[in-house]
Amino acid sequence: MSTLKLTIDGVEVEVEQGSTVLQAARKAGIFIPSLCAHEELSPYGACRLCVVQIDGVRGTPTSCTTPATDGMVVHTDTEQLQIQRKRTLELMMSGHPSPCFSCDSREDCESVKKQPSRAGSATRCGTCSNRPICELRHVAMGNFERDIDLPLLYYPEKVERNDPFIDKDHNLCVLCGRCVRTCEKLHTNPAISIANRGKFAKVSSEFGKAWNEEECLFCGACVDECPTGCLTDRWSKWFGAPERAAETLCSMCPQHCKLILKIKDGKIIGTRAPSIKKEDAICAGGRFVFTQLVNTRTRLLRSQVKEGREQIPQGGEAAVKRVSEILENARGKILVIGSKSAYYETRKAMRALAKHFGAELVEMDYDASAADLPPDIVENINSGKYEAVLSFGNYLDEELASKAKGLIVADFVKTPAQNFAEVVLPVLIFGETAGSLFNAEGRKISVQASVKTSLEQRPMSGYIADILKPLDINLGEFDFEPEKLSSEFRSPAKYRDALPSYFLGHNLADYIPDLEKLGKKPSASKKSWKPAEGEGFEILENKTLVPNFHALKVKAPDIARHARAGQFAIIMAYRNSERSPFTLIDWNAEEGWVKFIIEEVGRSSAEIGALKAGDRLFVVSGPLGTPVDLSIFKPGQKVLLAGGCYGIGAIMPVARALAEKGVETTCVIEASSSYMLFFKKELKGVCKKLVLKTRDGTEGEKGGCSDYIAKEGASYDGVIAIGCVFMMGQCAKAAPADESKPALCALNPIMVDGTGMCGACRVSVGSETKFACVDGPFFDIRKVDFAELADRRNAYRLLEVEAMPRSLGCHK
Amino acid sequence: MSSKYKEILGKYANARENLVSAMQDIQESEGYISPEAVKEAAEYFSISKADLYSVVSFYAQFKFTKPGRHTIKVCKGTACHVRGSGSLLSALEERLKIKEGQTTPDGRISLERVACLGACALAPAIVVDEKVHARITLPELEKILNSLD
Repeated sequence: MSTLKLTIDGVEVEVEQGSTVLQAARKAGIFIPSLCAHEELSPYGACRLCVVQIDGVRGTPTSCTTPATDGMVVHTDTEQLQIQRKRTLELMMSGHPSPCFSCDSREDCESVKKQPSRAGSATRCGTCSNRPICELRHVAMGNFERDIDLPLLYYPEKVERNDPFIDKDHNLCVLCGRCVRTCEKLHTNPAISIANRGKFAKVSSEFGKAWNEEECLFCGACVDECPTGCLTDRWSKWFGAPERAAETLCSMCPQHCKLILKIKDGKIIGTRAPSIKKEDAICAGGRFVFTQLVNTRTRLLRSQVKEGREQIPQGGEAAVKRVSEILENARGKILVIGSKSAYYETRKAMRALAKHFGAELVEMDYDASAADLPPDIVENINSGKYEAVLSFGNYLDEELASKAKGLIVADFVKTPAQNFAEVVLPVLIFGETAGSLFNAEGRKISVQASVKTSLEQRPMSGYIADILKPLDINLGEFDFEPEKLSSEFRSPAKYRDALPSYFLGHNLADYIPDLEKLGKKPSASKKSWKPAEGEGFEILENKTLVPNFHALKVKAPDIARHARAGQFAIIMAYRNSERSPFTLIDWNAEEGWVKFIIEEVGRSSAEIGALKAGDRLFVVSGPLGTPVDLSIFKPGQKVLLAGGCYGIGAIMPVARALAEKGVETTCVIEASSSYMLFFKKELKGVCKKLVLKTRDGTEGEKGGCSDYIAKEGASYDGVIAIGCVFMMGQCAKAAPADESKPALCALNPIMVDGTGMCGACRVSVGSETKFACVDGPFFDIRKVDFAELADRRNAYRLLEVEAMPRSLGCHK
Repeated sequence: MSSKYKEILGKYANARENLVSAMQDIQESEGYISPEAVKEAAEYFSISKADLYSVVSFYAQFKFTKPGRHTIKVCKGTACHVRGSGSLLSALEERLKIKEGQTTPDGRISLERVACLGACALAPAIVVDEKVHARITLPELEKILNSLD
């Protein structure tokens, strides 16, 4: 192909005919900011960030849509371009929740909060799952100053969670059209486009319908191409940026699509298609089900061997030895149930095993369940024909398992049927282990193991190899001709109704609740974790104050009778919920209710936030903690109260109690932006003066409470600050040094029982170790080790991500 | 394809540039663009429903809800505005219990706001079912409303 030469910022570049100016600049190593440009998609010219000036060309064309020509002289960084790009970015940021962009404490804050908090709505970078990988953030923070000259617009109603797997937050959208172009490139019948016009323009299906009512196949490619976090993978998005990628094959259906695994901390945290090409397109199973399935909370981790009537973990070696004994004793009277979805090596080893022990081998089809076990086999198990049954997968229901003699189950998750097994072997599944499969053209493809095994998990072929090892069997004799892809095969990457319902005999909808939205039915026997009728505590009201913040009014007469300012209660939404502490904001002993502020930061708070009036909380245990010591302040004294985010609610009872005592208070409250400030009226009613601070300067003064404490704190008789660890840390540095005046904070470490037994909430105050639940929550802010507190709060980060809700019920 | 749209669409060749004209004809005939119309037109023009909706939703002239039996358009041009058309619109919104751009649940009246009718000398003006009513007062508005079936 012929080439041409052009000059960009004084650098001569030689590129192929047909290249764009942007491609030429990239080749020359010259950076031009851009968002909508994508190597695999056609030029679009939407984001207007890649504008350049070209000698002899009028205006400022977008470099992504301008073909390079011979002798062209391009300038990428003139003053005019800088101004123009800044204006463009301001327009984008105006419609985007961007307080973190303009915050002066951003770097310090993010060094403490290394991961965004797992909120329901992204109200800023700090609560946006996309923060670690955001292209908009990368472009903006790498190239522009913090100040934005336009008003910030945020609309909570722009968040949509009505679809399976995908969260849509249109506040974050910059209309780059990458998702739409990806959908159009991959699918004959694209489900999305950009509807409406002007500020109402948004990525949408026709009539703004839920995508599952439309042609959408949930291939997830739009999510992978979104540069801003508008489209996200509801569950796996919180894992953050992957550390590495690995190739694997999916074996949920006979197509065996190639997948790229996203791996972090030795875990599979996501998958994507190898490219945005039609031939590489994957289905909802490969894109969303896969990751949720390998990360199922009930994965089998240890092998179990039955001793008497009890299964006991005895280690992998003992389990294999027992399996060998059972098979040896049952020789000639054995049933082996395998699966066509297993790797070739496993299927080969199963054949060898069956041959050696004279077993009957049944290989279940893809997408088969226990109900598909051939009737004669069921009859034979029921009549006791077999002395041993080895099942790779969940192909025996509880009743049949109870009748099977010498049952050995190899599986990846726990099932009730396994209780009847003599031996249970934990196996690795697709993506985790090495093996081979045949692609649609019949070509054998081998994949490597991508992650480390947990505890005793092993590939099925590994177990069989150990059983066969002492028997000197040549596996080479057991090569077989794999099934050809049937001409009637309908690919789930093209037809949504072809999406598999079962894998290794397990109903996928039991593990991936969102599949219900695609017409899959979970098994009937699903355990409910809801409190029973009449049990627990009734919610009288759940009001969303600002995005992610709920005011919860709960009927709890005993707590209301004894509550005092500064105390908290521990709440569990369901029987299987975590115990989390929440400050008592208000209460009424006569009417028997208490009020909390619930900030959505993870699973537990999301669960509570999603409940409605009339629903019941399983546990509300309190009042706990030592009330704030009001005796240290005298009537007529002046006290400064500082509240940030959650703390705005938490200082409310303290302000009220001090007002009742005749202490004069100034309340300074901070939030990231004006749309996150709440309780202004309520606080005004109990304090002498209310000062507002926002991190982006959209209301009150720009900055945080610590600015005010630093400036005015010394003129008060005491300071109390409540907020996140970072905010309190800042306030600690700003607090008056005079130790004769009290300066307090209320700490919020991870808590379990809240009564001083477990020690989870230990904090370092001065040289002493204290329990926040009983010794606190109030401590001298000048003595608290906030760095340690931040570390301890992060201790369960990965587990907290895994525990995030997968279903649609939460995070409303 | 149902006969409903066949005739209208059939007048146009299957080419993207005919899309807006065809949809205008459908709106002319039915008063709005229904989901069925989007489906059939998308099939006819061999594009996705999302793509077709993207095109028609760009233009303010297309409506996606069934209009009422009667349409009241309130002029909010400069002349009408200074002569109090804002009060007319809020009186109508209050009386009909709908916002501008909506239709009463019984399908009787649609309420619209227009930028200028070009009848500035008659301000404040409203148009009821294509008939212009000049220098409207609140009592007159009441009379007009009562006259509609």
